Amino acid sequence: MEVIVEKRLAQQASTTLPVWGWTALALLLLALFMILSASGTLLAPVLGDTSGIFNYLHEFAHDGRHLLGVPCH
Amino acid sequence: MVAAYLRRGLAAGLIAGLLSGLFAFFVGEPAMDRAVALEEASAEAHAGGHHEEEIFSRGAQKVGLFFATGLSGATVGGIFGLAFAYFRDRLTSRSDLARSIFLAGAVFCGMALIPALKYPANPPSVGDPETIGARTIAYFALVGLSLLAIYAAWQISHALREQGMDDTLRRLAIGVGLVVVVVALFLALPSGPSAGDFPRGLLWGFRLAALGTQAVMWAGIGVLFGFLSERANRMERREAGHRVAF
Repeated sequence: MEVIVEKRLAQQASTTLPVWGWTALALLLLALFMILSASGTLLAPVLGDTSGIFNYLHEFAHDGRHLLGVPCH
Repeated sequence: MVAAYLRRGLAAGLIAGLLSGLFAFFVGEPAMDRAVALEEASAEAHAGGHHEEEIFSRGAQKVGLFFATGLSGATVGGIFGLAFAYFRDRLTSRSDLARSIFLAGAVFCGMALIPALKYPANPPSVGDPETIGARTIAYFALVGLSLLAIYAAWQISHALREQGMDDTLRRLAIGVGLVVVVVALFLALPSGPSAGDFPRGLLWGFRLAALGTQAVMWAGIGVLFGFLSERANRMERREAGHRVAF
């Protein structure tokens, strides 16, 4: 009996993420991709010529990308 | 409540990211400088003495190191905060500090340790720039699948405990199952780039420094986020006490 009540309490207490939480998660993942991986070479097939601006980000974040273990170039 | 966890995660992540940048600066940069010097020497030999102009100097790139580790720390910290909001009631640890360290350890294994066994970090000049797209996809696929494997292991472990399985047997079964899944992932995904004739000692020194950088980041997030949560809990309790008193 006690176990059943405890389980029911645990189920009620469990937090679920609100819609804005999922939106924030998607934006954070996009930001993480920009910081760690975006580069002109990588995005050229998707963005074409405008992808060149990402090369500045790529070169500036260069050392951090290598030392965080992400494929850089 | 979720907003408070997100804010705490962003703050803890930013500080942990800057700390990991400090580790990378002192432990990783010496190997990085030697790798860049080797790259330039081989490029000059190939281009017949012609030197390629860089967008940023090495000094600027070292400032960029803190920009990259600080900002990626803040973003993964924010994601960690959201995950903590979801997992807090589902983790059985006694305190928020213990929960935070447990969750950060699990994410470190899925995001850094397991992927590093298959695709260890590479210094500049290792890897063909032509294949960067395929390598990036394979790397993030392994990160996602490793995290999923750890989540599944945790779920199954939970279900087995509910059924009253013996603890030692349960841990053994979960451990063996996780190893089998990870080995299957390693076999299914394409192999990493060849290091060619890059000096082996320098290569592995660099790889250990890179893994250490990520370890500092996740240890920092786990401990700092845990302390911030404990502090918020104490303040909440004190406020609740005041309300009862008046």
